[in-house]
Amino acid sequence: MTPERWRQIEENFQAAADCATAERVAVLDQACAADLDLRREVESLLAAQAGEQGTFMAALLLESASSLAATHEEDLTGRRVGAYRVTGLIGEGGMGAVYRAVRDDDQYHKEVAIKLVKPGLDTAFVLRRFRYERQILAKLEHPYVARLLEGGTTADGRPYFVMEHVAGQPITDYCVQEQLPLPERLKLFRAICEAVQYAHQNLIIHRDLKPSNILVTADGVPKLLDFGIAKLLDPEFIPEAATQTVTALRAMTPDYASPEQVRGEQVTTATDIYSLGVVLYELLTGQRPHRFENFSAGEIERVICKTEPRKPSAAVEPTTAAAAKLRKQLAGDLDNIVLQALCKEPARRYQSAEQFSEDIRRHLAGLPVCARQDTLTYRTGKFVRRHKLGVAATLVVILSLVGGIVATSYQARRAERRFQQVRKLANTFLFNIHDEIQNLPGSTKAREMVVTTALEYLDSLAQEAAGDPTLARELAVAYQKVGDVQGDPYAANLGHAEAAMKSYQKSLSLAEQLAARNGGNLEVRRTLAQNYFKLGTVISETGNKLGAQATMRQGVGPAEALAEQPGEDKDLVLVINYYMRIGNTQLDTGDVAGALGTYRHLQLLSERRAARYPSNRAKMAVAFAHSNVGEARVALGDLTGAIESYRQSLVILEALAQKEPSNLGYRRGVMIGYLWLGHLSANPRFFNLGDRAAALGYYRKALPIAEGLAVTDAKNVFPRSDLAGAYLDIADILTEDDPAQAADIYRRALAITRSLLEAEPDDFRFLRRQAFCLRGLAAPLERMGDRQGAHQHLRQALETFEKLAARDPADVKMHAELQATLNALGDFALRAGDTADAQEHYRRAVAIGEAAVAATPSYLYSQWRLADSYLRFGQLHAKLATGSGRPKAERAANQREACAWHQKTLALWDRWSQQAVSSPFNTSRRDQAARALAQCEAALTALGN
Amino acid sequence: MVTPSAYNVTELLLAWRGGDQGALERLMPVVYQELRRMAGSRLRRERSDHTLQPTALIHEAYLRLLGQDHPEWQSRAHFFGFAARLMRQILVDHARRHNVAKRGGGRAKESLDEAVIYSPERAAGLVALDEALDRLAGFDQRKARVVELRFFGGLSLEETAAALGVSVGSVRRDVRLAEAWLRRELQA
Repeated sequence: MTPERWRQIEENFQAAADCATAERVAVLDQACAADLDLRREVESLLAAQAGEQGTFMAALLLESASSLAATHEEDLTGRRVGAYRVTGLIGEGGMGAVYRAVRDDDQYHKEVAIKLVKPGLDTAFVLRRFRYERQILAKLEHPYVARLLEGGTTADGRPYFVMEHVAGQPITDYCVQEQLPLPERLKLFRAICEAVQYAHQNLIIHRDLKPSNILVTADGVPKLLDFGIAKLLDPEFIPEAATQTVTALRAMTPDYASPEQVRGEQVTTATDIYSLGVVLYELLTGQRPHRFENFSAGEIERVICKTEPRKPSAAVEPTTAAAAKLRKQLAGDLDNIVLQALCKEPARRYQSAEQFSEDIRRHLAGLPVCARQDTLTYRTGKFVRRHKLGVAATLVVILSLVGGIVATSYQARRAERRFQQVRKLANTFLFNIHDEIQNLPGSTKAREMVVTTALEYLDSLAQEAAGDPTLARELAVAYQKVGDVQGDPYAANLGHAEAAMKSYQKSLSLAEQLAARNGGNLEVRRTLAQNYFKLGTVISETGNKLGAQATMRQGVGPAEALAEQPGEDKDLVLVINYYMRIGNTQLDTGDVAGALGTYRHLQLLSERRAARYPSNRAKMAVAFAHSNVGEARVALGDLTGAIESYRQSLVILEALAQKEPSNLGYRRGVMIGYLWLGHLSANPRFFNLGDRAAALGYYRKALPIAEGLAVTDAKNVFPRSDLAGAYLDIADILTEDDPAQAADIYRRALAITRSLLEAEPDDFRFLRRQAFCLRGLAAPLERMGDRQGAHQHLRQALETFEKLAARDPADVKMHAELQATLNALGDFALRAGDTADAQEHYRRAVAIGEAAVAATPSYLYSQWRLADSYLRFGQLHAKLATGSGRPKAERAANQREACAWHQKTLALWDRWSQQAVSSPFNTSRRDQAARALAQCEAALTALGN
Repeated sequence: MVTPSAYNVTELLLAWRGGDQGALERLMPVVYQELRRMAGSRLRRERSDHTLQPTALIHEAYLRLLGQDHPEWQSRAHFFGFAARLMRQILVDHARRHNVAKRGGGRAKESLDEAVIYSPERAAGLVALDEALDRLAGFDQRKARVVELRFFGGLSLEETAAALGVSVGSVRRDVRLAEAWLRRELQA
């Protein structure tokens, strides 16, 4: 273009472009009348001008800029990475760059390859997973697999992997260069299959097999690179990875990618088989099985998932004699073998790299190949899969539930579908959980992920378990462990009681079926004995104490039978735990004497065990037995005895906690010990000695422990529940002397409890605590003048206790709390001057109390609260009798009524001293009743009766 | 990262303005590397929207390389023009390497991610644009320069006008024709 011509074009273009579109034709008609070429030129430029100015350019630039960000790699040659000095760049790819490097301190200067992960991947996650994966990858020791040596992060925080450096060339190039004859290529390929098979046996899938990852050294030795690396960087395993980054991060070569990879589906060993098929196709024909029109995601998916590749023989054009010969060699067996590996459906490919290789061997040896017998193979494969379920379940248990153990070679490789599920679980467990779970604190949330995944397919496995005792037994154990994570109340758990019960029941029914068939099997018996216990415990925690006790009693027999056999501490422990829980339910249902007996037996067993198998845990069990005895003593009214028991327990626990400060169980034990000493000293919810200063002292020792535990594992519900409990207790004591502070602390307890209830709205313990808090908070509110608030809280507490008491009519504790709450409401009404309302509440309390005392005469709390109600009635009538100006006869009638109530009160306290142990708690109350009665009788006498 | 001292960069720029072409050669890699690094890190940080603001980047590079305490440095536009050329080079180099990769080049260039983000026709587009720009410069150097400043350098119409010592209206008209011409060239 000459400058003159260009000037002409520009002149006309600008003139026309300045006009409205409609006028342009006229302008051009005039200007370019003589020069048609010019006119065409200007018109085409005007046509190209469409759109807003600059958008065309911006779009072009944006594409390039984005791409730049995705691939930019600064050359690190000459710099240091870890202990290595980078000597050169080998290549740059989607995941990052690969450098050649030598160890700085290595006098032999052995070369390594360093793969530096591209910035932008979630570094922390990649590293965390790498630390774990390294253990597996480091185990891959095979002459055809390049070793992974180590990994770390650079100074600027990028992960890198150090690998054995392989001086070789891609297998495709090697074959071309060496002009390797067909049988040699097949043999070389079989060596690769061997390496892949080895990795699969170690549960490692390559995911990115392609010629550039399969190098052949000058000696003709193949080496597979990057085993397991692809997964470390695959966003599929990065939970936070949003979809928009998936495309950007996925490091995959479309030519060698399987349909499942392109679709973003589960990757299995079959994925590697597919990629091997592509590599073989290329080795045989010099071409890749698929051709892409472009590299858009849609085109790639269309080609890989929907287009059947040509047969390898058909891909070879018989243009030369050699090509024609090759075509003949490929037709038949080799076509079938390659296409079998390239099946779209993973299940229809070779079951393993070994099988793939074996078929090639058969071909080389002139034997018939499996690839021909398509349907039969498929059916056989299915049969094999069914019978490998047991193996798969073993993996589940070992990998997912014991934790930290890395299973190696299980012959699960053929059980493709199951293997896949197992693998999925294993991955979830190992990578999402492993690091967190090593130390128990803080692990709860992580464990939830396992449970969700585990249950999903345990259920599907269970349907197929019938008739396979091995699988059934393993599943029984698996369900049990899942139940533990969901709701074992004595371990960090997720607080899903209902779900836990279901899991335990599934485990039990499996174990019972097995025991019926094979009663003598120790493991089955143990599973059975454990399951009854766990199930009973969870049932108990949901509030159904009698149901829990019945379940426990079913299991204690089998447990004792187990413990009679010599040698196993854990069997004796189970028996001890059974007695503890049975005692608990006895206590909860008012069988106090029974409970004390059970607990004393428990104490004996614990001491025997501690002597037989001395350990910290055994000592802790003795401490717990003491506190159990203490609890039963409380229930029997033996306050001083109980304090003695709790002190004994504390001595042991404090020593243990001091020895092992990281043990949360000991610390929790100490906390509970102090709480109990506080309760017995002055807490109005318990029988107590009325020493508030002492109570406060004990509670203040418990509180920091509770706070510490709640911080240690913020996701676990129980430490938080414990903390709410400690707040409640301390507020109960503060109410009297510092209502403002008490109210504040009650509210803290309530806030925690509410958040716990959000997750588990029907949880018995949380609801009970909430009711205690509401009832407790009413008192300081009233003292501070908020009468309406106080009343509201009491009503809410009442509603909750009513709901809880209704859950289990045999739960005397809840009924006693109902009594106490009604008494409190009555007292409130009385202070408000509403005598009728007060009487209504007391009457309900009396009705409940009398029924409870009749049903469970041993339960002193019911008597105490009933005696309180009686006393209130007595006081009420005595007060009415004092009203001056009323007729003497009416007043005398009131006094007589008052006397009758006080007599009933006195009778209850007398009954206490006969049936239970006396302490100032009951004797002072008996004295109070006696005095009240005496006053009424005196008043009656004064009235002339 | 080697961060050259502001002193060196200033000196090199002054030397270059003084007619020392060798200074430009020494300066190029410094600014090039800085811009490239910034472009990369910016996009990585803001991966979600994949936007690149060349103006902002060049501003940033200016501040990093020269510091704020160079009021006497009057040819800010000069620096920007220089940086715009480097941006063009960075982006086009990148696209060119990709085209090579797409034709079956080096083994480390096979990843799907790049294929998806960066389809071949678009890669060709930017390289083709670069070549077309060179052709344009062959008969209309100013327009090629306008395009470079405006799009690769991210300068505003006013800044472009100031850098070239022409009116804003001329720049607007230059862009109009240059874009149409380039677009037609690339469609061909």
